[in-house]
Amino acid sequence: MGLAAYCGKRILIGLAMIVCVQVIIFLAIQVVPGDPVEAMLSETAGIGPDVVAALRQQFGLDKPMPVRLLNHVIGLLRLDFGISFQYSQPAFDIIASRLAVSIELVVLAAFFGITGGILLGSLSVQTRWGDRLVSILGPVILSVPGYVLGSVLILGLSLSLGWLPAGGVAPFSDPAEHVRRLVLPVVTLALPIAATIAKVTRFEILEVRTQDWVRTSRAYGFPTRVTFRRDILRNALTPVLTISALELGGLIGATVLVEKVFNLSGLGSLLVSSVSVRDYPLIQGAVFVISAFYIAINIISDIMYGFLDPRVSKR
Amino acid sequence: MKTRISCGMHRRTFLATAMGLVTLMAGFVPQVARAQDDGRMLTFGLSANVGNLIYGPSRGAAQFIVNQQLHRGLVKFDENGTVVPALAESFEAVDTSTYRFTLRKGLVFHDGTPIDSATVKASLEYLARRETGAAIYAALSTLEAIETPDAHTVLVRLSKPNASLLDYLADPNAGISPPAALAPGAVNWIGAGPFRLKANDSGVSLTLVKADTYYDKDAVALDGVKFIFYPDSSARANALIAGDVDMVDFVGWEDFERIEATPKLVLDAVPGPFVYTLFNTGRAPFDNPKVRQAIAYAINRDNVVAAAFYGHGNPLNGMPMSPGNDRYDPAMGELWSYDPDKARALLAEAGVAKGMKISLLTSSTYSFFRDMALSMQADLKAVGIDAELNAPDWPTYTSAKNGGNYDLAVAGGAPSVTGPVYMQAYAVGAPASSFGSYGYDASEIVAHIQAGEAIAGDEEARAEYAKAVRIIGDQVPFLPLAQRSQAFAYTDRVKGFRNIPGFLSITGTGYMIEKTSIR
Repeated sequence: MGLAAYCGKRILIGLAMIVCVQVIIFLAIQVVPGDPVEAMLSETAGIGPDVVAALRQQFGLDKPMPVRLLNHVIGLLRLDFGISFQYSQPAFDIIASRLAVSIELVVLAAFFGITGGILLGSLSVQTRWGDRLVSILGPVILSVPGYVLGSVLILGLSLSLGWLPAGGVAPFSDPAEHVRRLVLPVVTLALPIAATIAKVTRFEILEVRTQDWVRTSRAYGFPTRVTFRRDILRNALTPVLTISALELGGLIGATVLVEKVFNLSGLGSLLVSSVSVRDYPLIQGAVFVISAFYIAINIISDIMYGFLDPRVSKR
Repeated sequence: MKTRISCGMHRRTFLATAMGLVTLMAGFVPQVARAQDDGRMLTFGLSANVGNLIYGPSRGAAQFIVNQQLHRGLVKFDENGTVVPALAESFEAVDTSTYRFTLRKGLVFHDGTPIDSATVKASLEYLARRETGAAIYAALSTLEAIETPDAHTVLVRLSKPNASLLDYLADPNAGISPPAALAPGAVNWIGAGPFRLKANDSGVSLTLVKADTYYDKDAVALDGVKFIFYPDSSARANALIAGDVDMVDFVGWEDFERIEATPKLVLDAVPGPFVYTLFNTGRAPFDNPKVRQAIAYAINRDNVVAAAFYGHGNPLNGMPMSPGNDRYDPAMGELWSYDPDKARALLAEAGVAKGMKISLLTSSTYSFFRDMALSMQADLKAVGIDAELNAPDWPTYTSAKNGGNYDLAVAGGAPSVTGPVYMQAYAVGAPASSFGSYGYDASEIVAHIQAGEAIAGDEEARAEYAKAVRIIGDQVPFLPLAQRSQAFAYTDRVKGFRNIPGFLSITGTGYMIEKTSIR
């Protein structure tokens, strides 16, 4: 099988997985008890079953489940997730605005986490203080939950010292404020990534530097710096990149607690709040985007393997 | 030639590093008072995301506050909770079923569209439609006709007397809206309120600026209000303390002390909405009024306040009453007391065996619901009732409550009217009223409340409401337990704002922003 056929096969499998996830989610939220209209009207006095029935009809919830499933799948093809029950806006628009916040957060956290982790991992095998830093601080950071780390940063840098805002997002039109508001959440998310990557990088470097080609490079008299950069680090980074891709894919919908602590309106908190009021269009749309993102990262990672190791695409 | 500085660093590297450090330092300069930079703009940390405004339905307290800035009804509440003219320059109750409103001259919406009696008629008729699901549907379901004898006069005729119609018309969801908003799903951003929408950063903030079209624009001190959404109460309190916002609503009870201890911050807390217990009267044991009475004597309200509201609330031994309304009698607040011995005696009299198992429905979505149920569980245990907690999320809780899948349930109430008529929605049983105990027939209570509503004089009306309350005391169709503190908090630069005490803390206080200024 050629590389093109290999890529095509991976993409088709990915699309089939997205459709499966959508059908499972659609059925799951119908099975879970709780009615979106009753929840929506729970704070309105004098509401009886007649008003509930009228609103169910307005939202199309009175139609049989197969019809709603079919409408949902047809809508997906046009990227139309329907109208959010709670916000009365197209679910696609809401998700798009939240996705921008999530992607910015995740990409920045991943960038600083991965580069910082590789740097620290490299230093840990070259210097004694780097070794101590990674061995002592790494497990500490990994054992502290993100929301605790975030709360401590807010308490110290925002409420006590007043250096940075306590949370929220600022528009791109105010770039300085935009960056200031991102510092604490990005640090909160990036630190555990850096700790993980540093640990993996350290392990891989220690593994690779015992290989024959490293000994050969040293025997040829290349400077230590060149040997490290060209022969050790480059070879050690392949598994690091795999871990990085997984971290990135998993982050997109999993930043809920950090979003909550820093009042960031990202995709994770949108999904949680939508589930809590049974906003079906938003739940389905958010799950679609998160699963598509995760599956896409995996496909890219699979295809990368195909490039790096031609034997993979021939299987 | 490459220049190297003394420590061996390249000049370009040094400059780049220096530039980076300067940029970084600029970002770290203390800017606590960020919200102060915006002149007479009030930066408000709002307790929920507000999506598109839709005309009619209630979508919670945060949406009420936004509605009250963009929209205006015929009447509104003032700082004392009294109904005062708004788009109507005057009003009169011809009788308890007929109200006449005279509109101000020259009224327009934010987009310049004129407002006349026909606009008002169309708006109110839309709210009276069942399928609108309007917050004031209960009041307008008895709408018989709206007459518009001229462009500035509106005559509202009801099929049943309703002395509280004006309260309903001051509800934040009853602003007069343009014809384009009167359709299911139509957005409703253009109103006749003191501020108009300038920017909607979906899911993040709403920026409102002073509307030149507002009938009382000279009395509005602020240039605008920026609502930033802070759904998490700790994040909201942090934002206020850090100076990111000037004001927040719905301060979490756990944050009261923290805010009070912060210099230059004001905590404006009043007794607000109440929490209560529902009974499934459709099945044993709570089909028996004696058992319901036993529960009324078994629950220690002080413990409920301590457990659910960190001590920030008032225990209730009877009906909660909104201050400033002359239709209440203080005796309505003294129906039961905490008396476990009496509770045990009543249970024995009703033939309830010791160790009876019941289900107690609450919700895990709100911590005060869960804590209130835990407090009740201990009190019930003390009188020999073994209550098993069922604490699902909010939609599951709502469905279980409306469907009668419980024995006892905890619930919260935030009436939008100040008068005793509010009791009707809580007395009438589900499924007819989603606020009431499942299966309860409240026809006798409703008859007295309706008789009270038909009487114009407060004293005579009070006697009718008292009859309804006596039946409630005896039958216990629902059991109010505590009135919780409802707080706004703001910096001391904010002036002229007042949290209206009582039920109106939720539905009326948003009107105070047009009277607010910021130094």
